[in-house]
Amino acid sequence: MERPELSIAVLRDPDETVLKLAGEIDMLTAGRLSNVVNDILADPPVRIVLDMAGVTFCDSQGLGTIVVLTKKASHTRSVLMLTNVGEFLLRVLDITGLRSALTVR
Amino acid sequence: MSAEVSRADAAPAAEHVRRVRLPADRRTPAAARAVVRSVLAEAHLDELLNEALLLTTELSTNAVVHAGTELDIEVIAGPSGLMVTVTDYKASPSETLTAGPRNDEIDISDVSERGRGLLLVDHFASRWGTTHMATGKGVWFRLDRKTVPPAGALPEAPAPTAGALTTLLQIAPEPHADDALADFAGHLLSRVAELVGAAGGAVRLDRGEGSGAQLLARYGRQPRAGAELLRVPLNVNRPYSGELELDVAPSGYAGPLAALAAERLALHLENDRLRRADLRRQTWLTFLAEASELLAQSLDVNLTLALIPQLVVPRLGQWCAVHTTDEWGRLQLAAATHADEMALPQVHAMFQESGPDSPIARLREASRSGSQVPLGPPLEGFAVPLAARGQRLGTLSVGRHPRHRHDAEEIAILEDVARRAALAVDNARIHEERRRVAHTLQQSLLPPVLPVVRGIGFAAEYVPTGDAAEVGGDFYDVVPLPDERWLVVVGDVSGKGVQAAAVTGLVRDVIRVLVGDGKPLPEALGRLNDTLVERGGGRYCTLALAAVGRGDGDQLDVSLHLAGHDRPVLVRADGRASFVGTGGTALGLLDSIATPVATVLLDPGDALVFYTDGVTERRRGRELFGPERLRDTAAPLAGYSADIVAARLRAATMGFSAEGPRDDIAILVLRNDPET
Repeated sequence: MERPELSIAVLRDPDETVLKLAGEIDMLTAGRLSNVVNDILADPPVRIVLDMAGVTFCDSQGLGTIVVLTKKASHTRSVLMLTNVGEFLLRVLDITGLRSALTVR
Repeated sequence: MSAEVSRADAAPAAEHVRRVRLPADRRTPAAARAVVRSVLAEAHLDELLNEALLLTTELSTNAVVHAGTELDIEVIAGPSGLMVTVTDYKASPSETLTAGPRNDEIDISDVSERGRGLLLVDHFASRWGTTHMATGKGVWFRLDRKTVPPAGALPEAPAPTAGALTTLLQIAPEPHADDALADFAGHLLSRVAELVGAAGGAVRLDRGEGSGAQLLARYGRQPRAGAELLRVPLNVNRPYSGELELDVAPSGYAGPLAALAAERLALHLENDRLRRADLRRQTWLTFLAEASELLAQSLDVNLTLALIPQLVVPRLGQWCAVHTTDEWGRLQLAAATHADEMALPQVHAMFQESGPDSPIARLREASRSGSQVPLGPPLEGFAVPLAARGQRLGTLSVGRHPRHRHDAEEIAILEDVARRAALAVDNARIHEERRRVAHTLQQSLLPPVLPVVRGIGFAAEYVPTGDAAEVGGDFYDVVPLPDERWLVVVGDVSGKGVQAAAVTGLVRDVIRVLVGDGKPLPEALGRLNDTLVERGGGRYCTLALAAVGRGDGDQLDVSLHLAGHDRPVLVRADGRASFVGTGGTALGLLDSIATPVATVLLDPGDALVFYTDGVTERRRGRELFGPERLRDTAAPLAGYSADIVAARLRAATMGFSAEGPRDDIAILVLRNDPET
């Protein structure tokens, strides 16, 4: 694949950790996202923000991973939220009924 | 990418086809997306990009995760849209894929982590489905262009294999299944849907029971609004009708295969129709037999009228009303029932309307024309006439079922019920008439009042039998004799009914005539015996005759002749009581009779109590009232007037048992009333 599958840039602030995501989230890349967030949750910040601005694709595997990570974050008294969610992904969140269960900003 | 990429040569110019084989690898969904992306670009279908990439990813991810074999991806893009098929190589029993539910939890800890792939496919695809093959399973989806496409050929499903066709022909109903027909239809439908690649399908059947077409079997998902559907009517006989519907374009093999399946279905539906018709007929016959039996048991007009709606509702309609024709020919509501008790007032209100189009006017029409007449809304139904033995008795009206109209068979059954009901009402009327006749006859056999004679007290009590339609054989009379004496007559003719009453009348008249002529009582009894033997029709009669006249001083002189009758009780003024008189022969049995005479002298305050066997044979369980109990009951009544003695004895007899009297009861008291 010529294009990067998924790049993850981590920006740490005192209160929140922002993950700038770029590329595609599917069965190939969801695992890596999971690993990065799990590492961050070892010392949980108040908020973890997934910045979806660069995400060109996200399938049900990606959604499942975000659900799992949101649950884990809430267990560590942290909050996982999504920002800059694309129009089509917002539709997918509506269709699956996940929009009301996730924190989308 | 270790994939084999081929471009289909034979594709028409407008179609872009790409087939690739990919490994079971985590990179495969991304590779599949790349293929789809390039085909869409070629076909200028970028408007479908987001959906196409998502659905392709979902199907290929499923194949990688669940089958774990290599998979083929076929992408066909045309002017009208895109079709992608993902085929795996895992031979497995055919399973139905279903989309998971949409999440409706708000708390993240309750949200499922998996199972959204098919939900998305089901949502975005114009159609999708599965194809089962010996080597594995293919899952496909179609995305139609959002803009209205020019009419263009859809990609055709592959030709069915001989094996698949054989399966289609070999499916047969399980003979012992609960709902063999629905199972069979479901089985056949899923087979034919898989064969033609339909995303969904349905078999609808209207059994002509009025409730419209019902879903017999469904496959896959509901068709999208506006989707082109393949519909094949089922070739079945009336009242059945139905269709096979497949969510697939009617092209290529789809039409003939659907027709084949429809033909097979129709054959079994026809079988079902015949079986059900038979069953229904049997059920109705049983119902009619039960209704007849119930109606036949009721001999009371009002009870019969009340029973009719109970028989009809809810089996033959929501509500039922019976109107009877009164003596001026007007229809009067006699009984009504509604399946919903609360709605009964509406039925009453409906029949109170008047006017040329009112329900009551429709009933008149039914009664006049002698045929069924429909009733309009709001309480729809129809009315049939009640007529028996050429007489218009009224109408029977019935409301339709909540969900369907009456079918021809039900109307025929209702007319049958109406005929039987009318006969029952008529029978009950005849019975009532008989009862009235019996009552009148009875009254005519007994003197309306007893004579009032200075110094002699007469009093009588009579209770008819419990069955009011029967005339009893008991009678009594007090007749003046030419020699200024009085004759007391108490008798009992065997049997009941009109014939017994006729004999009673005969006995009474013969006695009146003979004693009026001054014939001595023994001779009168002899003549009466001859008459009965000759003309009594085998009936016999017991009789007590007592000629009462003034004796010495203030005594009454009584000559007592008993012809087989129970001996009367003599109650003395001081409270002693005894039986007096001698048996003798009942009349009408033998050519010659013995009627010994006994003379009884009644001092002032003495009374003589005559009675019939209705008194002594009154029953309480196995116990009889008996003559002794009568005597012991009469003794303390000494000193009371004849009226009081008679009334008290009647009360004691009736109070002995809770049952109605099986035989009629007659009590006559003759008393020497002291001068005051």
